[in-house]
Amino acid sequence: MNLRPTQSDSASSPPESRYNLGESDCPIPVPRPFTVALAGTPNCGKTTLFNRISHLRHKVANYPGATVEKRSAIVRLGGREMEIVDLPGIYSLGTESQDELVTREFCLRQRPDLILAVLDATNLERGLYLLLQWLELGFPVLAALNLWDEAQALGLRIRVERLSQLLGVHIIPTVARTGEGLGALLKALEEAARNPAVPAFHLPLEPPVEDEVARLVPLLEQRDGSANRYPLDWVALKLLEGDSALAGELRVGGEADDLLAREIEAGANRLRALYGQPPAILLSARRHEYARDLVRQVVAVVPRRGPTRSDRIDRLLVSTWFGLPFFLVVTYLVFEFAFTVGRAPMAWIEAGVGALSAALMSMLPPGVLRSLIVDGVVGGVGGVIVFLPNILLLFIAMAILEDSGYMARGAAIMDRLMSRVGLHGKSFIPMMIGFGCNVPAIMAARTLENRRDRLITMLVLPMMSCGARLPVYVLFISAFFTRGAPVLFSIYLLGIFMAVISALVLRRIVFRGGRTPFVLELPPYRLPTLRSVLLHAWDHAWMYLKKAGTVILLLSVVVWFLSTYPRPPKTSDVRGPAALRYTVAGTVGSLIEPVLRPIGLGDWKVGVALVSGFAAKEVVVASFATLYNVGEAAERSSALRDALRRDPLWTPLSAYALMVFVLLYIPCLPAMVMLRRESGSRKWVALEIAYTTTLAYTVALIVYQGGKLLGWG
Amino acid sequence: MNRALAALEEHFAMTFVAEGIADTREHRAILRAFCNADSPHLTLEELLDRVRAQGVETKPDTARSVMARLCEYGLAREVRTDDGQILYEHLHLDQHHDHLICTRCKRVMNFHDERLEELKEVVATNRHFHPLRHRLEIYGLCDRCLPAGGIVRTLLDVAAGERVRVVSAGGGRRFSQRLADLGLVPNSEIQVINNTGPIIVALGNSRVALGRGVAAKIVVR
Ligand SMILES: Nc1nc2c(ncn2[C@@H]2O[C@H](COP(=O)(O)OP(=O)(O)O)[C@@H](O)[C@H]2O)c(=O)[nH]1
Ligand SMILES: [Mg+2]
Ligand SMILES: [Zn+2]
Ligand SMILES: [Zn+2]
Repeated sequence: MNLRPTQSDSASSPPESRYNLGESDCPIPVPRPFTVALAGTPNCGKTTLFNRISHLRHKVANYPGATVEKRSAIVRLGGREMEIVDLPGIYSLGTESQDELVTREFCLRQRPDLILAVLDATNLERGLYLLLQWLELGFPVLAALNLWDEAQALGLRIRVERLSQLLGVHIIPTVARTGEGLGALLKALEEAARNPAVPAFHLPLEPPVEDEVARLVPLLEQRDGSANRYPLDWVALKLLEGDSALAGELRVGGEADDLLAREIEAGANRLRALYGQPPAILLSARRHEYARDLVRQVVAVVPRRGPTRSDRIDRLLVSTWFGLPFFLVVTYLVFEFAFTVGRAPMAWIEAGVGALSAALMSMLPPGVLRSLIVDGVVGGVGGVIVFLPNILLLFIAMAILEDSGYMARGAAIMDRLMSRVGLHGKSFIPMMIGFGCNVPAIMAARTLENRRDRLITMLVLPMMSCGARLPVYVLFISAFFTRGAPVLFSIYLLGIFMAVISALVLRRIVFRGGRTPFVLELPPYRLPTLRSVLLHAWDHAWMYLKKAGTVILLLSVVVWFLSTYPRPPKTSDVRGPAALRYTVAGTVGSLIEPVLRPIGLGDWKVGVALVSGFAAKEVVVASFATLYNVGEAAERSSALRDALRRDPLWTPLSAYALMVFVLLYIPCLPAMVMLRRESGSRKWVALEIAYTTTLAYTVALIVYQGGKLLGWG
Repeated sequence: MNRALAALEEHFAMTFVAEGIADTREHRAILRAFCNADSPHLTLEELLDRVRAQGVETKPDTARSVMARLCEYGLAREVRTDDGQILYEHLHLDQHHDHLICTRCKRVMNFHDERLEELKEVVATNRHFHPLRHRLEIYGLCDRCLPAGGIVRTLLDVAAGERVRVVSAGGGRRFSQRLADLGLVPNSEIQVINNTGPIIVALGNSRVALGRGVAAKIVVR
């Protein structure tokens, strides 16, 4: 079936008539909108451009399942629906790293109707290197020459017209950051959608390589249709390069005696013998050369090549003696910022929630319904929303680090340390993201190329204290400690320390073997824009709010029910908090209570809160809010702190033990679901749950008992 | 040869277009003249004569630039004779010579030494062996790869600010592919920006951070 809706019957030979698209994987014959894939190297401004374009969106969607990291938006352009897809950056189609495979798979399998190639104008050669690969594949391409302003500032004069002619591709200079050139780009998109032209392109190759390709093509023709999705000489070339993903897809070498597989190997060996290099490197060099030739043709003035401002900054910030200390200071400031600046807005929200529950108290008649709404819903959800400012600030700080380009430096600086403890420099970015939320962090571990490195990173990453744990700390720190930031920082450091220990243990026991070497491109330092920082932070804050509106709301009600029913028998005259003993929560909590006693948390309420926290750690706060407000409904929800202070269970030491436990015990449910997906096995999830719980208990025990010995209890 | 020649012509046609050279007929004539030549060495004059024999006019400069391209692609070699004349030599045409092969930069140097040829004959006849053909290849490091002190330099040894050329970027298959995609292929020019802590190199306008372990595997000159 042909999935392309309208343009397939247009007069000018459309691209799909060139190759047999008959065997598409998709079983549902829905007409889909014209799909445009934004593809380019990392950091060339794809996402910025995407946000610019999707500003006209009526719908922004996250793909489900394995493809969350792609974002797409439907826009209407020239009376036509278009789906714009933002993809992770890639350097080459020949990639084998996990995150980049997403892009490759999307483009090869779904075959977007148009590739919107985003080129970094300050680094044209690299962008063209990738663009050539789309052309080799016979895709229709439109190019945005982005970062045009930076190229101008560097003194690069690029003859866009000429480049356009040489490639046969329409190229529009853009500045995604300001929106300059966007109008022209949209017009070109519209035009391309009406009339998608495939530029004729053939990568010039040395005769011996051409000969090998020519030898393979007839063999490919003889095979069943699977290879016909792509131009056969492209397939032949890729197979010679040793593209294992493609070989897998086409099931080359699937049978024991595969003539094609043997021919490929023989051909690759001949080329290796002739050139003294593997074909993949040879062709990579050839493509670079071709791209460089193009650049020479069109870049009028080669800029001065001394050290740039970024280089001078790097000589300081990445150097051995200054790099690490500076980095640690920056990280500390991030937390200080999130904690201190967040105090005022937090008070406003608290006051608002308090006012709301007071109003509800006076409006509603006393009874079960009022208790449900005020204690369950407002108390639970309100107790979580209060922390929105902290979360928002933390994400703003992270977005600034990311957008400025410092995060990549952090990875480079940390590589030496990380490699000592069995991690990888690139583990650093997922771990940093882990401070925000573990779920995307586990996903971000895909940038690690080696499976062992990836698994270790994913398993220790939940010890990075995510934003959802912050509410718990903030609640207890503000209730029991006078100086907040040092205590908070110590908790985060403890998390890092435990992650390090765990990584060492995992590397020694479970995953022996070498590490992959560290290579990472560094973007130039840039001033983050307000717009992108806020967008970034808002995305996460919105996720948090949605969680508060759904999971947390639901769980608050559940906790309320469990802590309300069954009621004490009518005959007894038990009233107030004592009545809780009879409820389900009371029973469950009492069961756990003895276990928690050695770590200073011997109260059934703590048991209930911790169990409920498995769904999402913010729920711990919501549960405490619900549990402490039961029977004292007249209290305002903001008074949870006072309620805690009044409870003799809590001392600074037991509060600290609780924080330690919350930091380390079972990562939340969504994170475990993600771990299951990304690790591909339940085994790792089981290991993770068992390990973290044991660790949490042990460390909390050491903290509490040790503290008591030292007389802090 | 004919298929190869046809493919070669095609290849050059594309390169010429990319280079912005309008008429390719002239260039093809030059290409054909060189590839079909009977002698292994051609002077520029001889080459121009053969082009004219095909009924195509060409200027020496054009011929020179086409030959420069062919040399770049490893199909021809420029030989400067002692009197300063330039000869274009076919690579791998069947005239006997022996090879010195640099295992690092893959450079091949030809040599022919009569004494060695005689010695080979002597060795064979003494053993009642009748030689039909022979080949001698000497593997090692060329003068560019083994500088005066005899030290092999890796990126680790390069000071900040210095500009060097990549000789080889080692490591596993996947890994050298990744380096290649970033542009770290043999013969690419790079500049070291930072050499304390992680190594930062500049490739054109982009910057790549490399762990010290990686840098140790990148041989430069
Ligand atoms: N000066 C300038 N900066 C840009 C432009 N486009 C994007 N950026 C910045 O480049 C960085 C990377 O952009 P991003 O969209 O995340 O790149 P992606 O990795 O390709 O998605 C961000 O800091 C952007 O603000 C541009 O046209 N001009
Ligand atoms: Mg992006
Ligand atoms: Zn030879
Ligand atoms: Zn050499």
